[in-house]
Amino acid sequence: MPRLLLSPAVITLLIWMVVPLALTIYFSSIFYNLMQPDVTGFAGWMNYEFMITNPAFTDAIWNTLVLLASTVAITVIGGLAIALLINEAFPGRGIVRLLLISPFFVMPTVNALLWKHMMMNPIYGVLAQIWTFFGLTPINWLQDLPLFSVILMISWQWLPFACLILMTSLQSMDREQLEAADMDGANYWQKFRYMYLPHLARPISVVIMIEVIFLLSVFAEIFTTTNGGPGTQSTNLAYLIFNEALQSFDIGVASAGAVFAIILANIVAIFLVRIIGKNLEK
Amino acid sequence: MSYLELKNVDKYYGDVHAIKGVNLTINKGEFIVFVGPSGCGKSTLLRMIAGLEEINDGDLVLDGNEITHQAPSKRDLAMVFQSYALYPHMTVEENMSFALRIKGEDQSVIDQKVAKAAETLNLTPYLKRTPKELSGGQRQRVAIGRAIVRSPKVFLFDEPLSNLDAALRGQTRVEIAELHRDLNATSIYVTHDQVEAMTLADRVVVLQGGVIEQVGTPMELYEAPANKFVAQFIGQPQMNLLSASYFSGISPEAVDVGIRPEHFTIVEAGQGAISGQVELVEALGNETLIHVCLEGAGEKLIVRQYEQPTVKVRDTVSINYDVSHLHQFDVKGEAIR
Repeated sequence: MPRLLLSPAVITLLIWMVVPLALTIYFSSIFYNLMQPDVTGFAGWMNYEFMITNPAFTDAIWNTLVLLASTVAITVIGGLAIALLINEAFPGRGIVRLLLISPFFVMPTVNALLWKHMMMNPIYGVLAQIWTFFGLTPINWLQDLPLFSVILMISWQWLPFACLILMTSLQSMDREQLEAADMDGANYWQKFRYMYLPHLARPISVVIMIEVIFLLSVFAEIFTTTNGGPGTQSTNLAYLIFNEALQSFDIGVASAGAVFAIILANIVAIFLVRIIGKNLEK
Repeated sequence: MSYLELKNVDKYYGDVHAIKGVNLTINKGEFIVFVGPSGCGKSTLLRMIAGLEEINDGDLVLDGNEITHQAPSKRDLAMVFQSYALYPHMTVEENMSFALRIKGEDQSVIDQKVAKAAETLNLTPYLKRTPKELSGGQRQRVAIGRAIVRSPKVFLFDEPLSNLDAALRGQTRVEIAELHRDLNATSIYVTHDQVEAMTLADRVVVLQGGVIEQVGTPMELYEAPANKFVAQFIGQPQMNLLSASYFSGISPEAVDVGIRPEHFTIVEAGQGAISGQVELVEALGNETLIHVCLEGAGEKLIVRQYEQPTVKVRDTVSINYDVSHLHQFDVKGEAIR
């Protein structure tokens, strides 16, 4: 009986997951190009072969991983530093916290446009102004450092998230423990290493988990700023799949790309569970 | 020979004068207990000695060294916290050795000290466990072990037994007393429990409102309280306070007279100095507490007798008192000697 009552929810979820997965696998195995409607039929591994032999593919995988790793590193380390910094009471802490958290409420597209036009424009952007002020040649960010620029935008957006989670967790740090460490003669770094870090291990794991889930499929920032370019310098897997499906109109190859994305996500997930899962079990 | 000395120590929290010029000298090897009601400043005073609260004015001298403004870790003191404050992600062994490891002590020395402390505290089987796998009493012992391992000049205890249940509290109290006897270490112990104060202390410091009311051995406090506050704070049930008009042949300055419940005796009607009506009889087995409401002004007192109850509620009784155990207090509440 309990299973029967559960079944509507379980079945809905199953359909939700299985149908798109099945369709993706199905599309990846047939010739399905919107520009060549006459070419149909079973394609075997052809679509996968096209995808893998596409020189953009290895770039896309590499870019996806670089973007993921650097954004997670920047947000966790930066978020930790800021959270520790504003953990002590000071006048105006409430406002500072509010300001710190606000980037997370900005839509990804808006965030990308803000950075593209306001900050990184080589002529009137804020960064260009600063460079000129110091007598330097302004950097054409999106042209010369496309992947780095995207990483910068996404980090700006996700830093507050990491900061927020770690900040709330720091509030629950036991004060007497820190006092005991003081009496034991620990300096700030030793307290950081032996008190704060172990206390924050779990929230840090949560931050990494959630960020990985969202950052594997970054799209809006790339689409609005660099369009994956120049060349493939800022193309990640999500953007490559979009490119195949809605620029080349080859649904079959795009679906094969999607299957690779699923595999990549699973590989990352296995590593995550191995490394981080232990922390969450406690 | 003074070992730890507090000279006119002051503490302010904003406008609040929390500790008001406390002077105290503690000898080497002494077990000192700070006792007082909630908010009397006893924990604050301990934390000031530990260096966890700043000393706003006055001096703190330990073993000839001025340590008033030194960092907690430089003072050579160890503290046992109320919540134990064990490091949750470290094993018992790592908890106990933390201070030594931080200091960069030799591993063999650390192992030896930890092993010795663990043996003293019966913690040897638990060295590889983490605090959450221990019972309350074991955690308590780890907290003490962490202090012992450092062999500090002074041990500080901040209400260490208040998180334990009643049975364990009694047992741990005995263990702490034994430990102090074995180590002969100078200790300062904060509690609000007068039983702990009376049983553990070489000398008790009674605090109220940031001021020391009296310092003395437990028996001095009991037998010769310096004022009404100490008289009523020490002893359970409280010392009876009656107006001086009931008594003759006492100092003309006396306003109140205190008598402990056990110094009253119930005598045959008309034979005693005071008479009243019994309001309540509490028979506790080994003793009986008889609450009596006096005739006239309606003052109340408690009589303790070490025999089975002989009176009933609403009986009129006559009471005598032991003249040699009267405590006389003047207008300010100070004892008249």
